[in-house]
Amino acid sequence: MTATGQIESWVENPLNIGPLYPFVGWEVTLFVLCFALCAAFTIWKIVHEKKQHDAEAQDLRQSGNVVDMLESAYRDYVSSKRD
Amino acid sequence: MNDELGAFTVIFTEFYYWVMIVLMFLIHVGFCLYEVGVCRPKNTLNTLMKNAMLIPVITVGFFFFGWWIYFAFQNGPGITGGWKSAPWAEPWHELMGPHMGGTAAAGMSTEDTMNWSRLNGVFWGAFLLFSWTTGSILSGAVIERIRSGAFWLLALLVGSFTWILDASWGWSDSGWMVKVLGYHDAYASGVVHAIAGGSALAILIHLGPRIGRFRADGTARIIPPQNTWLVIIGLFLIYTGFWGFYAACNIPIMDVDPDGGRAFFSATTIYLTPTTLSGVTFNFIMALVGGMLVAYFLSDGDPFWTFSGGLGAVITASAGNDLYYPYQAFFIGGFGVWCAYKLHHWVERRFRVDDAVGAVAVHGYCGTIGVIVAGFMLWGYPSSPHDDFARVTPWGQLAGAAIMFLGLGFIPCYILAGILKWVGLLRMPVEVELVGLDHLRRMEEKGQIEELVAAERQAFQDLC
Repeated sequence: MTATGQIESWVENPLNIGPLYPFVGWEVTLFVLCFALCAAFTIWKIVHEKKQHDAEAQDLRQSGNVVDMLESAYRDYVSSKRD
Repeated sequence: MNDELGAFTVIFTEFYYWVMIVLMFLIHVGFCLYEVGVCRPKNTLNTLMKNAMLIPVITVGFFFFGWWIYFAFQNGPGITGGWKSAPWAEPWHELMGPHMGGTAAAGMSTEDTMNWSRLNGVFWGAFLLFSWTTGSILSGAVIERIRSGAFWLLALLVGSFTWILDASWGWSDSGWMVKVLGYHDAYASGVVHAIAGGSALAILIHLGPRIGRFRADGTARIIPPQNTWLVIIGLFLIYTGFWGFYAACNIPIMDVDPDGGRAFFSATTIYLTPTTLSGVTFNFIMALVGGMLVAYFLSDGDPFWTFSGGLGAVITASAGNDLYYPYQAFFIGGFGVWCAYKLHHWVERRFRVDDAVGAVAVHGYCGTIGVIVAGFMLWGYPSSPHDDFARVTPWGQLAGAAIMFLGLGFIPCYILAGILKWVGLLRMPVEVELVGLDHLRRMEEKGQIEELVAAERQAFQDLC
């Protein structure tokens, strides 16, 4: 029978049982995959954030309504203090 | 694990840390509430997510290399020996997962395999919660202007590398700082708080103050918290989580007389020196109230400083709270808070450092002072059960404090934050900071609400 793990029976001598997880032997591969995914996330976040906020800043400069938005933020702030 | 006493000791220890992780988790609930309460409404979501996402960022780093660093670097390496072997902490090792411990793991004896199969994950988890805390300490200081990506890189540096390196050196039973300097820091005044405070200060210098924080004459404007209740509940939860941290700094049960021919079981510190959870309870609470009293007096009853004062006092007394008498913890805690409060305001005025939550004061100054004070209070105490290790001295503690705050705290973060600033990745653009870091998301939500209201209006007109 096909099996992904090394456990033959839960009632065998526990002193013969080691790893409980499936696909023993694939740990290094899984590490490399997980590391690559996390590194990619970090790079994506930094690049995406820079693009997003630089574009946002440019739009705000061109729209010329930063002062209006500041007023709106001020009203929220005062309102939060009242709560 | 082969006899009842051995099995009880290992499984009780496993369960003890497992429960402590739950308590420790509360500190992060507290940090999130606290930061969200302190920031202005226009930055709320960004503040929350910046802090919350340090959890995955630091966790994977700690799994990949942090845990291994703790064991491998205890000799420096190159100071008291070479690299130490720690196969159970390698990120691809079979013991970094569920393991029965019955068959010897690669590179390990049968007995070590049996013990680490039960303890590796819970020890890793407890240390990881300390890692998150170092990141959260930075997070509060830099709110409302740092880019999240830059913050996460800095949090990764501190949470997965520098703090665990200092723990390896000065917060393990055979770290070189314990051997050579007699460094004693039972509840992590230096190894968690001083390093995080030093790191925060370095980042703040590069980051600069929030817009409008200082007047032209250099005096600081107050930026009131958006919700004082959230701040206080957050600080209360941090107190609660702190209990978990204290408990996790102990090994709950160990034979402290292994060579004496008789068994004598006690809790120990991380240095394996005996202490009692009972005594530590006295000291934790007496330090806390000492700090609250001093901070209330200094700030004329300001809630933020009063609650932070309690925290700062516990942090100050932590280095020696395994051994102090409760009045000593009370006075040391109060002294630390007095110094930190004065230093905070002096640094703020003199250098225009905008530490939004007082993290450098509460963690950095209190932690550093606590390590130094312990050198005088515990002068001559053995730092370890090993007789050949140096004893606690003021100069050993002073050197230790400098390593924590400056060597591993300030300098690495000053360099990385400087690089991030140089490439334009550290701080938000001015326009974005002015309108709020949640601006885009709020505009998106506004559009969604307008569309929904239009649809509802249409539905009503159709009805009529």
